[in-house]
Amino acid sequence: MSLDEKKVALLAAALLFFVLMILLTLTARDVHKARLPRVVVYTPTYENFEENRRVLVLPMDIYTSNKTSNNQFEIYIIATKEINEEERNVVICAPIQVGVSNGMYFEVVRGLLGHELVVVSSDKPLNNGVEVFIVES
Amino acid sequence: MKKIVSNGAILQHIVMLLAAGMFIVPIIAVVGASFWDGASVTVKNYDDLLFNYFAFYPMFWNSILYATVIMIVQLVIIVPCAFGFSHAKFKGKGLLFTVYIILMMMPLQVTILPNYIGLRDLGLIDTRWAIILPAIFSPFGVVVMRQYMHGIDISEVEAMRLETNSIFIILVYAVIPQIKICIFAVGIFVFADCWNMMEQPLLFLKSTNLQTLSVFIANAEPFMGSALFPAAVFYIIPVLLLYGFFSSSLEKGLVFGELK
Repeated sequence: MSLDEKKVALLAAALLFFVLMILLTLTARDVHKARLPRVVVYTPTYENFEENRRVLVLPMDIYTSNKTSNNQFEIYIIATKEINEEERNVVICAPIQVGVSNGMYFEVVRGLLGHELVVVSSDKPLNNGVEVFIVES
Repeated sequence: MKKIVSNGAILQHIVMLLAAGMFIVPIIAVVGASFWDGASVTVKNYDDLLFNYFAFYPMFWNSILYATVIMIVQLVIIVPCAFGFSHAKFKGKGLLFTVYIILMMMPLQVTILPNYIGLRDLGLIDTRWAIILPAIFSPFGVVVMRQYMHGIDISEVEAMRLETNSIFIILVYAVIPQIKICIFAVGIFVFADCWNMMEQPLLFLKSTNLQTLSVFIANAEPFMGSALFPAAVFYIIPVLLLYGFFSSSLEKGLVFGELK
């Protein structure tokens, strides 16, 4: 390989490298987001339930990881965690105890405080601590 | 007799190859480790770095920006400075050059504190200027280029002086064409020096988005050990490309006082 050919090859390699770096800089975050589980979240609300009791309710079709007994569920709530020097959304498994339901919602007896974001649905299976992308709330 | 010389040459080659191998082993180890997750060969480490650690990109581009700007501005300052030291006649030239040599000999740890105080008083701490400004007046390039300029054909400079009084035109048309190789060589050294700088960003910068890749690699281990080696590979590539492109200039450009 002559000196000129070597320089042309190196110039091409340098151009390729920097073009690749520019593309990665512009798209890496979007690629990362596209690979995350996309979740829909719901903020539990206090509703008037039987006999005008104001209770914390959740939709019945909520995403659950495990139904440990009739009234025990494991749901996922959203938490922020510092990952690679950034605040990111992750899911945390939270066991809850539910009470009565009205067909659309059930009453949360224990396990939620009311201000958490609860995962309603996800396009991928979730595990405790997994980073997620919130598409809708 | 002939056989002895031949054996000696072979032995010399083996020794040189071993020495060269010793220098290249760390690079091979870094590249190898970047594809190894402890159990198998994988590209997951690159995936982690490129698609999960977004602070890497601004730091990479910061390193490119600082090294490029410092290299260009330093060269703009170095050439007239070195020409003045090598060919101009003025009082105190020897003393001033001695000061330059002393400055060059000073370890970074000695100069970094006055630099910090100066930058702090100017309100430039945690700005890009904190990295660029102190670095553009490095005496190293002036000393190297002054030595090289002793070998330039001064008759060309004299001929140009008959046509113009502008020192700028003389430098551009009579001096720079003769020292192009040295400019490339010094440029590579300055770029590599700035690319590897560690203490200045650590001390002068606090914001993550202003930091450099060298700081990223130094601090990467606690956050994401798997991406450390791929980051080191990306750290090597620009300097390697630059060296590959100007390697012939680097060899010739540092032959003091000799022009090809």
